[in-house]
Amino acid sequence: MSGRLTGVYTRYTQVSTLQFILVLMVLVFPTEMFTLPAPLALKAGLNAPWAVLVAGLEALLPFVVGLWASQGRSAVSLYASLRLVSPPTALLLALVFVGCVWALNVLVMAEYAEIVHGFLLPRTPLAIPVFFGITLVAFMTQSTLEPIARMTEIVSVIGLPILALVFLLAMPYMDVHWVEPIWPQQPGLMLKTSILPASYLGEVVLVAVLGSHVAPGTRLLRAGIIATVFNTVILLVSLYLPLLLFGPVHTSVLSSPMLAAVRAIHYGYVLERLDTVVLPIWIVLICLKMAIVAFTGAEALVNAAGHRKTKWLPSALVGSAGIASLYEFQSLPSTIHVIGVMWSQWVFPILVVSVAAGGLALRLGEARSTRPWSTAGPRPTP
Amino acid sequence: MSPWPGQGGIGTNLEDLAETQGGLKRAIASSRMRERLVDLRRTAQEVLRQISLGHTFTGNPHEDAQLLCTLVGNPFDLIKRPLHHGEAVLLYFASLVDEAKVLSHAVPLANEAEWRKLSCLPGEKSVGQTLDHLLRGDAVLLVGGDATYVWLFAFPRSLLPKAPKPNAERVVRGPRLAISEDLMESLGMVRTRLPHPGLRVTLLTLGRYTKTHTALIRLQGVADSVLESELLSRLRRIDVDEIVDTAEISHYIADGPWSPFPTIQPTERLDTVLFGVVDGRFALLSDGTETGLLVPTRYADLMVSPEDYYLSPYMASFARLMRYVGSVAAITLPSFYIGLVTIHPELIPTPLVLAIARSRTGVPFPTFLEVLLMELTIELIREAGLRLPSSLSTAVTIVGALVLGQAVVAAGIISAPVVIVVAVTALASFVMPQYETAFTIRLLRFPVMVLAAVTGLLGIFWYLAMLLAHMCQLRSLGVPYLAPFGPVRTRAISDSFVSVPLWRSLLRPLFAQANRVRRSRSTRPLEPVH
Repeated sequence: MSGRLTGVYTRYTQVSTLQFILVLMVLVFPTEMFTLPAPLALKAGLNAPWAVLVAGLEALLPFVVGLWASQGRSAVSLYASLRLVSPPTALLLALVFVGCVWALNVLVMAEYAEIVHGFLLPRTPLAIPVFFGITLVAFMTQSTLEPIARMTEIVSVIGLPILALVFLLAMPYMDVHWVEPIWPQQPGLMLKTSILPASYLGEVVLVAVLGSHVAPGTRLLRAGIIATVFNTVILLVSLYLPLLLFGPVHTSVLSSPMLAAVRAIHYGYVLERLDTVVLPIWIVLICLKMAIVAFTGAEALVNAAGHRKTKWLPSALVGSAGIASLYEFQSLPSTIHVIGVMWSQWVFPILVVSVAAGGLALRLGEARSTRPWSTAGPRPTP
Repeated sequence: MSPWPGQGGIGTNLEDLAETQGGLKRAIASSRMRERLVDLRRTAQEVLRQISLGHTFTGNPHEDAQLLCTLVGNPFDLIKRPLHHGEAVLLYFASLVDEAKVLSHAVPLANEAEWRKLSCLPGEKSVGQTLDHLLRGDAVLLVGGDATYVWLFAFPRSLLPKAPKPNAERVVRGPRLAISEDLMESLGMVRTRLPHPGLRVTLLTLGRYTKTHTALIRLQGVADSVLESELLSRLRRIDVDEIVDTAEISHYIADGPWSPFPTIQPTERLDTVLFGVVDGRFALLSDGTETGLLVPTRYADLMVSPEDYYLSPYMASFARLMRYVGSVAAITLPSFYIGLVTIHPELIPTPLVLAIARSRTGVPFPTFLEVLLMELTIELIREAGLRLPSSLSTAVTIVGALVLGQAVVAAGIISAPVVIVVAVTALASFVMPQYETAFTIRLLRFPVMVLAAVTGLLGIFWYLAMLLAHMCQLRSLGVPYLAPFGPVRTRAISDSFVSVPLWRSLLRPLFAQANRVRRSRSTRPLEPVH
């Protein structure tokens, strides 16, 4: 919460349904579109698009967990509710949550800096893009989530049509023979591969905290499903684009197939380097993602500690994550591999389990209470 | 104290929860409830006003004069003068009427014959008709016990013919009327063009020593009451020695005082004030200055020229798009040139990079310094042109632009592409309809040039993202600065980024909470029948 608001400032403080859908989308697609195509093509080859579709369904599970933990209502934060039941449990689980989102920011910052270093500033030290990333994200998280959501709205409105335009411009270069046969050949492999994209698409589990900023009455489940469907479609587009241009084998060895595909598009002397159009928007989007993640972590901690303002906490989280990310760098392909392994096998499961544990502790606390009371509404009278 | 005995911990936590979770919701709910009540009160007042307008007078001049005053909101420029030992009351707007003539001609008249001789429209009139005449600048005399109760005298103040012309906001099409330095004249001009009883004017005296009269103008039933009370509270908090210009007021009431972006729109145009007031904004006019202020101001408002509404939608949309493109170009064009030439030459198409390399042969300065020198020179020329008399400024501009530009290229000090880039940038900054916005954009150009020289495109993108993040956090009187783009309001975008036919623009901006319908759907022109 951002403290007491009065007068005209009580307006425009809550995130609208559209903004919430876009926030959930930005939480996922800036990383998935550049990071996932290569490992997916490597693991599943032509089965990769099917793995993505399955992952889209699987990703609803973490979202539902997050929603269940926050009691399925907007304007409710898991850790603020949990603090009623048991402040130490709330603090402990919030610390685990913050640790996970901090690790997520470390990985995202590493990916961002590696791509900027690899595609934009190959001779500049990595600390420079990291510094720019930290300052931008720290600046974004100065106020509440609503201004971040506003910015997300504006950048998404520009960014998503450009992604569609890139796909259209790439059409003359595409070879549909690369993706034949179109039906999955190895269901087992497809299911196994789907875990990786599902962990990325499942980042929407942060709804457990983000939901507290959404306008009351918003249908969170519907918003989550819409966002996940769009994220799945974007991942499919990001996967099909290099697959149709380069084929599965070439795609699997590229450091960032999506950017390579964008670079392959040429239209005379006018559109020689389309990546200079895509990259700036991607940089803003990934910084927005880091801002949302940092804000969510700070909010969880603040709610669990019983304070109102996040103040400098998001900046501190993102600053320390940025510094830690400097130790992640090896090379772009190895960093992307490390990110995939660390996130899908370690950080993401811990995050989902901690959120589920929070929800469970909340339910248990409610059950043990002698009086019926709601953790969502105003203070009940005895 | 815990609400539940024996469960102090949970009780304490519940209080915290109420603070953290319910507190904000309740604050918003109570605030909205208060807003609704205020709106309800306003609606009730409006209904009463409509009922009163259709009625005839009571016959008691004092009561009827009071009714007329109440109907127009008891503005400070409405003069109520009892005559003939209280048997008659003379009412007139000091801002619309030539007061000297009223005092010398109408006041001494003593009987019906004299009144009839001077009256412009004798006969029975309802409250509504009388109010209409009063708002159009007639002096109203209410005489008790007289058969013809209401007498109207026309002593109009000559306002519009001698009104000044706007200097900084010129247009090709449309009215060329500026606000006057005399507050009464300005108010008279507004009242002349907006003779509606809902026009409300509040007089404030600002400045301990200067005692500057400032009028807050808004349209009741359209302007938001919550914004009004917020603005009034900000204005009443001003406690300073002097207020000489409205620009000083904006320092005290603006949101984001450290922001480079103007969150209050200054204007010297009368039609801009009128458009703003009718849209539910608040106008502030002051004595001794030709510049008024409009709040709340969104970035989209700063990109709109009143001329847009006088041109065809295609022309206006093109002009607006050029302004948006111009604002981005004016900030980033020199920095893109620096970044591309210095750090990312591989991104420039080969023939172009060769041409730039050829033109740079023999130039002693690095690209950044070249651009910086030229930009500073342009700023010097611009500043000199502003301060000099108009006859000299043209000569200085021509000398600066042509002779200096040609000379530096011929001498091999600056490359020709830099001159082109700087010239296009200067032109782009001229397309802004507001002087303050253009100045802001000029200022924002310099830091990004340094960033581009050091970190290339990343620095430029970072800077633009920072600006966007800042603008997203910015508000003007609580209204998001980037509305209707963020938060997105699809209906309002039709009258911001592009211009649509006026009959299509049905709604007022979002901040005009009450009476949002601007036009009826039936105003759409009829299609030809074949």
